[in-house]
This record gives sequence, structure tokens and C-alpha cells, in this order.
Amino acid sequence: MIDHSLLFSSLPDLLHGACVTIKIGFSASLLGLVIGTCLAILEERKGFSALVFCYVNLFRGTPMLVQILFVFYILPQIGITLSPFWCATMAIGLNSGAYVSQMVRTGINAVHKGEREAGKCLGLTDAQVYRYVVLPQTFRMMIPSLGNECVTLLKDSSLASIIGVVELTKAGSIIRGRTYDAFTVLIGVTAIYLIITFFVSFVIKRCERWGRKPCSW
Amino acid sequence: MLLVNNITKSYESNILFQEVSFSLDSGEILVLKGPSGSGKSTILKMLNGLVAWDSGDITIHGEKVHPYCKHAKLGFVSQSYDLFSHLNVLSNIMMPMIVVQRREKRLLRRYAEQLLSEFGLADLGARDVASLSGGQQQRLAIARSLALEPDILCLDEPTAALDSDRTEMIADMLHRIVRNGKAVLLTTHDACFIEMINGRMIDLEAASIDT
Repeated sequence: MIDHSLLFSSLPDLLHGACVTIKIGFSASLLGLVIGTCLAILEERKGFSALVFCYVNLFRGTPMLVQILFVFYILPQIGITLSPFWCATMAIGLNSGAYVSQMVRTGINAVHKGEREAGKCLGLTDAQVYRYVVLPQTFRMMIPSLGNECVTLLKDSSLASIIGVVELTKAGSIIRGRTYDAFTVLIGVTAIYLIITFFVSFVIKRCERWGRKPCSW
Repeated sequence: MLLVNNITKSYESNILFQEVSFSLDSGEILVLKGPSGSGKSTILKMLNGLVAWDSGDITIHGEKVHPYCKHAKLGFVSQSYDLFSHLNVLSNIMMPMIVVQRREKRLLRRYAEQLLSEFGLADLGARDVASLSGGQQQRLAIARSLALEPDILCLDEPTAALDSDRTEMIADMLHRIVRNGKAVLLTTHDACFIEMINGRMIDLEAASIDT
């Protein structure tokens, strides 16, 4: 049975953990989007595709947990010291960048070649063609998959607990260890995760609807 | 205005055309004629910086054009129109003017709307380009190109997807454009259209020197 009084008394700690989860999830999503976009653009340039191939395979071929531990334990040895929060965010963002790069690449390839040529013929530079023609269309096409990636990262943020970040799962574990009531705590944690992911899904749906409308200058 | 002197283009060992020369003056319509694969569209793409040539010179207003360099005084409308599908009709015209010519958005709107109405597209400014008919898309593509005030307008098969009424409308439009001192260079297979525009013609097959 759910212990309601425990649930309510745990709520501030769980909500604090949820805030950390949201911060990690969104920061990593943003980092992943920036890295993924840069990688996808670089992949189109001669001489960079091998580099991008190595990056993507390195991050897709190893567990995210190992990557978090790597950033947490190895970076200080080369003089880069980050808080556990930023170690987790960086590792998750770097990992996400590998996946997002492939989504962006697919989106870029889906933009009609003629539109790029039209941009060039109208006098836009290569960078302007990307900025005003290719990427706006790519991101519109990518909204559903970016939404999925964001939800995945919100859930993956629970791995940050391994390096001591008190996010939602870790906050629940601490309460569970103190009270020995796993059921109530896990129900609370699950409910909060569901509320967050439902909200993100709702926002993504609205963005999809917005993305179908033509843009006005 | 435009001088094409002995240009040659080949893909690997296949020569597409060799030592083709022609000139184009203001107020003139020049039609590039020839069978499919003779290089008509390639010449238009070369002039507009999309394809490089092997040898020969191209000059516009006495200024040498380099491969893959877009000359500001040239406009190009491709066979598939290639409108920006994420922008509405009005923004398709405004975006290049704002980005390329750095003109002020506030002052541009009226000019863009006027251009749309000249091309029979008034009241369609907020529409999605995908919802336009083939003829409307064609006119929008021409309007977008003319918005940047080119001296020479290049059109690749402008009537390929149009019915005879629309073809006549495009011919009238081109006559209006050349009356304003601009020049038009186009490719077409359409014999009726060639008759309607009554322009100078170059047969690319005959102009290309056989090896």
C-alpha cells in the first residue's frame, strides 16, 4: 500500500531531484543538438567524414555509463575538473551528439537539392544557404525525433546518480534507504518521470504543429 | 551584356559540347535549342555558378565570370522552380532580398507585395508554396528572381509543366521583362512557345564544334 504521508513528506526532495533531472536532460539535449548539427555539417565536408565516423562509432559503441565514468574520473587527470552535475551533462550531451548527428544528416539529405541550388543562384553564400534554407527545414523535419531524443535523455539522466548527482532516481534511492518503503517511493518517482515526459511530449506535439506552417519573414 | 566565348564542357571522357559561343544584349530573348542531353541546362547552370566549365570565357558587362561564382546581375529559374518550401509565398521573395541585399524588411514588404500583384499572385502572400498551382509556382519563381533586379534572367524549360494558356501568359511576361531593358536566356523544347516569344535562337548541336 502507498504510504501517503511518506509520499507527501518526500515530495520536496523528489521535486528537487526532478529539477536536477530536468536540468541535466535539457542541457544535454541542447549540447547534443549543437554537437550533432556541427558533426552533420562537417560530415558533408571533404576530409572530415572519417573524423565524424570515428566520433559517432565511439559514442554509439560504448555504454553511456562508461562515458560518464570516463568524464568523471579521467578528465581531472588531465587538469579538467568539473562538478559531477557537469560531468554527467557533458557525457550525456556528447553521447547524444553522436545520435543527433545522424538525425541531422538524414534531415539535411532530405532537403531538396534544387532548393540549395536556388539559394546559391539567388546569391546566398554556402553558410547562408545552411542558415536560411537547409537547417530550418532540417529542424522542422527532425522535431519528432528530437523530441524522442529529449525524452530519452531525461530518462538517461538517472545514470548520473552513479557519480553522486542527486537527480530524481538518486533522490528516491536515498529516501528508500532511509524509510525502507520501496513501493511508495518508486511510485512517487515513476509518477514524476511520467509527468515530465508527458509534458515534453505535449510540447513536442505543439512544435510539430507549428513546424507544419510556412514560415513568415 | 553577356558574352560566352568558346566554352567546352565534358564529363570524364564524354564531351557534352565544345567551343560554344554566343552573345546576348539587353532587350533580347535568346533561346537555347537542342535535344535532351545537349547541355542546354548545363550552360544555364554554368552561368549561375552551379557547374564549372572546362575551357572558354564568360563575361557579363565586360566582367569575367569565374566557375562557381555567382554574378549578381544574373537570375535563374530552374525547371522545377525550387521555391523554398518552409517559407510562405511573400517570404520566398523577401528572404533573398533581406539576406543578400541587406535591405530593410519594413520597406521591402510593400515592394514584394507589389511584385506579387504584378505576377497575378496578390492575396496569396501568406499561402504555403506547396498549395500553389504549377503556373503560380512558376510565376513566383520568376518574381523571386526578378526581385533581386538581375539584368539577365535565365529560365530552364519555363513551360515544361504548363498548359497552353499559361504558356501564353509566360510569353507575355517575358516580353514585358525585356521591354524593361532586361535580357532573357532560356531553354525550351516547346515549339509553340518558341513561336510566341519570337526570340533569337541558337541550336546547341549546330553551335558545338564536332570533334
